[in-house]
Amino acid sequence: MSLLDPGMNASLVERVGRRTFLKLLGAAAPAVAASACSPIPPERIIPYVIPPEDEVPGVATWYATSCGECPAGCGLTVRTLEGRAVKVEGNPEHPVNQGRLCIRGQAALQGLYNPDRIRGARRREVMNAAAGQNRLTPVQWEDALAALTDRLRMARQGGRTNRIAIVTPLLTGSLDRLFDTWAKAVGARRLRYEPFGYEAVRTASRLCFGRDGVPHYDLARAEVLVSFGADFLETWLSTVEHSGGFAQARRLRNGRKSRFVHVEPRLSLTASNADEWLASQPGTEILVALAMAQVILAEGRSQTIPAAEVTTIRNLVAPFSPDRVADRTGIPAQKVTNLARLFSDPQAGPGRSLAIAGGVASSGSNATGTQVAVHLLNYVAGNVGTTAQFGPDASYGRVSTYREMADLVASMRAGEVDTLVTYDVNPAFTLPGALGFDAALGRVPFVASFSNVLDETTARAHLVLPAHSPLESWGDVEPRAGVRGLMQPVMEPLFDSRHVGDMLLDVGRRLGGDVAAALPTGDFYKYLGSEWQALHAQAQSAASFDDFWAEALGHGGVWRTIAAEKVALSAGIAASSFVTAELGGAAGAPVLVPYPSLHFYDGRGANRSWLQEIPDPVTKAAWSSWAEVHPDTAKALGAEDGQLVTVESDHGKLDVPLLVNAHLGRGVVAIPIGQGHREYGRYAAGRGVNPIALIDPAPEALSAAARWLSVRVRVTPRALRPPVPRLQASEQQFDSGVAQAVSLADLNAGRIEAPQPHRSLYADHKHPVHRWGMAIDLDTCTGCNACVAACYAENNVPVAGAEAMYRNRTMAWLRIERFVEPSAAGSDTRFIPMLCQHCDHAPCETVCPVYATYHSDEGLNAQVYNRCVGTRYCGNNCPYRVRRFNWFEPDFPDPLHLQLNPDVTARSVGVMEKCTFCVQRIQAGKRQAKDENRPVKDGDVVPACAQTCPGQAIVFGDLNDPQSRVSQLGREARGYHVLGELNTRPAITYLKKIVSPPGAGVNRT
Amino acid sequence: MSFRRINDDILRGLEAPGLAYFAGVSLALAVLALALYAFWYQVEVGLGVAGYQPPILWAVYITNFVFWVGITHSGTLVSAVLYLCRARWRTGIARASEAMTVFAIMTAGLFPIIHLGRPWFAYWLFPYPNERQLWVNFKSPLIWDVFAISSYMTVSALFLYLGLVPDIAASRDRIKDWRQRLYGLLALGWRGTDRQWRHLNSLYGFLAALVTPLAVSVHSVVSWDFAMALTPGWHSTIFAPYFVAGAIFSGVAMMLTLLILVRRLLHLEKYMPVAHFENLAKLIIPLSLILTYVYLTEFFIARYSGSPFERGTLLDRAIGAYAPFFWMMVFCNSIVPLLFFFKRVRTDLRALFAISIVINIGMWLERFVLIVTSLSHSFDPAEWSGLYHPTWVEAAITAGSFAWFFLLFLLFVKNFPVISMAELKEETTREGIHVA
Repeated sequence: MSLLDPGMNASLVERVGRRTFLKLLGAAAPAVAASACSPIPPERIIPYVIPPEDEVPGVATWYATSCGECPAGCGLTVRTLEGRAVKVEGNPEHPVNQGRLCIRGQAALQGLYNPDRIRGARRREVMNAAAGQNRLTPVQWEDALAALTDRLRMARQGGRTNRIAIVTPLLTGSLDRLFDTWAKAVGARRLRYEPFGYEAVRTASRLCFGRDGVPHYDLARAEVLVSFGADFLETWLSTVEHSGGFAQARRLRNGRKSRFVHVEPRLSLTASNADEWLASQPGTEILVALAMAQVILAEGRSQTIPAAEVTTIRNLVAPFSPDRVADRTGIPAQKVTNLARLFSDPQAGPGRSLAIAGGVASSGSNATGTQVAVHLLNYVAGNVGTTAQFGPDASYGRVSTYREMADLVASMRAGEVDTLVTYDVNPAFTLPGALGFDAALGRVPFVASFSNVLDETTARAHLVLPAHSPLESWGDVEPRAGVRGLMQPVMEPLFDSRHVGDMLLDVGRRLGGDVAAALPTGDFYKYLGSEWQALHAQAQSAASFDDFWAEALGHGGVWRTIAAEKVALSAGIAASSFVTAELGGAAGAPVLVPYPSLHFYDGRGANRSWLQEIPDPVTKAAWSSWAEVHPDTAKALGAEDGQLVTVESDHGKLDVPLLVNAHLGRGVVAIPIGQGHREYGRYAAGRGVNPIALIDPAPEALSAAARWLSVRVRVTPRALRPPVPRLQASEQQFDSGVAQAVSLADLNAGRIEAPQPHRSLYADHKHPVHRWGMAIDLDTCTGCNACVAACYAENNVPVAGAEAMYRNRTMAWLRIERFVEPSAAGSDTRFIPMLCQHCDHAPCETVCPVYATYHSDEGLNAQVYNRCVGTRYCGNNCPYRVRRFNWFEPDFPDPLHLQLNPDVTARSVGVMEKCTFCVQRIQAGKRQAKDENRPVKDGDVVPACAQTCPGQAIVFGDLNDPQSRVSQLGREARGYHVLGELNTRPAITYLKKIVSPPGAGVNRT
Repeated sequence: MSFRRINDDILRGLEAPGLAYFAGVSLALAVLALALYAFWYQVEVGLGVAGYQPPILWAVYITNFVFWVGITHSGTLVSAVLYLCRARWRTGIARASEAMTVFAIMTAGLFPIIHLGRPWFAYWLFPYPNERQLWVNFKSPLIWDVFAISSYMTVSALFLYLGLVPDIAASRDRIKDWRQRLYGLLALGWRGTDRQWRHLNSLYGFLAALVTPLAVSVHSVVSWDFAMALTPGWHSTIFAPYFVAGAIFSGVAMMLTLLILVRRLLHLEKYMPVAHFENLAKLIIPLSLILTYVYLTEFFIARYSGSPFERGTLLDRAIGAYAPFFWMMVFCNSIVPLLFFFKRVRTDLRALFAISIVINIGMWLERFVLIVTSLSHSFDPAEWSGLYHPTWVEAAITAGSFAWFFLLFLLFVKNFPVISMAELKEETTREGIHVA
């Protein structure tokens, strides 16, 4: 029965006449139209009316600049789209990092887009002095600069000098010179403060060779590398450069492999990559170095140095034979002797080995002595001038010593400082608590900060004038002599900040008189240009300055090789004395080893969420602090894994959860540096503990360095068990065969299992054009997590946060698994990057009910986000467990959302995601080749992980091309598929790690 | 036993409810309301509000799903299988168990939607016509689930309804309140003619024969959600018989629980003598023994396979973090039901009630242990996981599923004859007692 049936609805039709109907329609229509209007106001997207030249929406522009995340000064190329930086990569032409970048460099974007950045000039307003209530309120730049000028003027009254102190980090290049000029003009004392300052190396160089400086170490040429605590894969000197050099040295060449021995109390990331880890008593590494030198000279293995020097050194090291030092170091004498012989192998020739020292192990009261010992060791082995070069010295030679900082604090406490200006340093966090910086800061009437984040020091400032982040700044960076990298803004400043150089010039000009006269004219950019004019003149280049400048900007800087200088032993060396590190606190108590963190460096990285979320490479803990002890030590302390303990020294105390770690010396408590911020933003504040609070504030006598290794501690178990998110449940792999290794002997003899042939009931997938695949070399992977951060940056991977970590809800598409195999060498640690294997017989594809995952004809296992309903069956069926589910809507707090890569879909709640082999890069590579009318060639497509790996452990390419690098690597004898017996047929071939037995030499067969 | 007497006794249950009934319904509604809120919250915020802990991507919801599918086997066994076997004693319990089946499958069918990441797209799991050439993935066991469950639900509902028609007609003739219209509609004009009876009986027999293999298939298919995956501990051919046996086991136990209550509260002792419950208890014994056999087989196969993954996972199940749950499950499923070997226990309704609940706890734990231990201890040791901690959302929704089931059952019991009057009358006729 229809409405048209008169019998049915006649009454309705009768009751509503024509007029009434029209009236109703007239009333209803606007109501409907009004309600149909969406409450969300329409967005107007105005395209470029006058587009910038060369700017095509969707096509990226790359800028070369320099990284400011640590003083290593790597070169960057930054990908920008529509005026926003979205990805940071290494500059392939830069001599320091050669196109690669570490995890901190990858996270630089999170510094630029940090949600807790100070977005404009601020002044501290005191609301209630008695209650200590104050806050930062916005202020106009004019007023802020005027305020700073007034205070400086006051401090300079009557021609006084040194009432103003200005503390910056290690700056190099033009900005550094400007700061010096400015400080001199204003009459301020200037310090370049780096918590990890390498003072001991410099002093040792002075004592040994009569020249202050940190030499340049060339790890690539070292066939035998011995590190006394130097964490060159984590924070020591120039980690990307050293990781790359190390990887080069470690490559198998004609059946030979170099050898790396690491000596330190803890199995750090660097130690994990050694052929042998010698667990030393803390502070006794000096004895091992001396013992090695003693053996080399006693057995006449030194070839290159004059006889007189041989005698001097021999007399110096005579008391330190391996036998005599064995019980103090905890390392068997025979091992040391063998190592010494290996180190100075006459067959290899001189200058083919290298000893380095650093890290906490070499930062005790005998730091200088340790570095002297290592210098001598290198010297007698003929390494000085080859693998350790003076000449291209690291810029660390210009850092102020820790004692100078301590003196500043004393001045502040004595009321001798009227104005303190800081820029990008955080002494309130990085100076030992017992030094009393906080209290001394209270005696400074006026504190100004140029930092753009509210760290502990800036939180006490009266005036904040936020400077640009490095990615928004002009400048130049000289990490070592001969390398002059340029820094340029890759986008417009995000917030209302200014260049620190411009601020200096502005304030100086406002001060007028002799100060203004001393300063260069124009802004900082002009100043930078003028400095480079000088460089241009020096280079005697035929091109005009403008061309030279454009060229330099395009390449990222100018570099020249500085030849190694010859050095001779200083006469004063004979007066050296060598002792083990003195440690305060009760004898026999555990020794505190606060170690610098790969992710946070000295704490500066703690406000970057990627660095918190990505688990620590060794403990696989995230978003937290911990204290590591050996199981025997734990038992002796009466504490269990996960229990909260109070760690107390004579200088401070803190509460931290205990982590039992068998790969640690007994009687050692290791706590990472970097957490324990009281301020510093939402990701860092109130999280973890700062072990710097516990150390002795007195500097090392000879070098004036901070003594990280200085105290023994009392450890008291408490009742609480705060959860520590651990993202890897087991460091043992049992019989799973996930990370495999082969011994060098077996490899050379061909005693290596060939992978089983695969059989299938089903027809194979056809890959008509390309079949993308990867080869990952486990022998090269150091576990540094750089690839993980690069993946986060490239693929819009959300950060789940600390709460989610307790339930292991990391979103990382790529993770580094760390397995420790039992080994007589003390270390057979295997790092294996685990990502979607893009299996040819993918178990995940069969079980998805809605075909949200399927196999593309180029070999990729594709995930269709908008088809996924979230049953998670695919995640259950993946044997590699690489699929990640969005448990909540991903959150990118403003302005972190600006970092998102527009070429990659941002996923929503309820869908699965996983590695796509950077399909957006594959597509871009294919498009490029198509535009250029040529086939895709090997090297056109580089996923983010492969691009950044400092060791080049990840290789990507077309498996259909037998000549591609990935195909060649896939055919190597060392190749295997993880869980290959499941017949998943992954597209990733892993190359087994090569292990050499303890005490082995460099195989020369 | 006259027909009138039968009608009186059974239809008394359909009279105005007392306080206890309202209390029960209110409680069920309250818990259901909480569960709905929890589900709304989960949809609004994301599945993260549940306790999922990668690699444990399936936990409480899938446990509930499998558990409720298991419960559905009660009705099919008693109603259809025993009907086909001509077991006369099923009459007192057949209708209630058929109803349990339908309500259980209605409950089970909710969970594949509840556990989805994007439940508003749940309809994508059906192969509906579209212009985008989109098909579902027929290779996926989850799609097999869709078909198995929907077909089972359809046939069981039909089966129940069909059996109900003569009784609804009787109710229509007796009950004179607002429900009379409803009964009138549902009775489909039943007049009890010979022709109608013949059609009914043949259709009923046909459906009984159809729903029996469907019961086997539905739980086999659900078990293949696990068996078709390659996860160690799941990938085993024993799963289909394992789950079907377990389903009948838990279904019969749930029947015991509910029917003992129904018997007591509706005063139907005459129609549900203890001997019937004893029969059910006797049925439970071999099922428990089968389950014990299956547990032993799983361990044997793991060992015999030589696969370090299978061995590791099964060993972890027995001695790892979940060991207490595992051993409790063994106690509830393999040890406690052995008490039914004793006639004293079999005929004591209180013991039957208690043991049936213990069995269902054991069966819930079995599904939970199976799912979570295999997921938490899979191939790659780096991705092993610790103990799973459910949240209030999962607890609320689980409780809500029970509330939903009991609510439906309560509504059924109060509005439809809980014992098949028609069959009872057939029984009495057969036994030669005349119509009064």
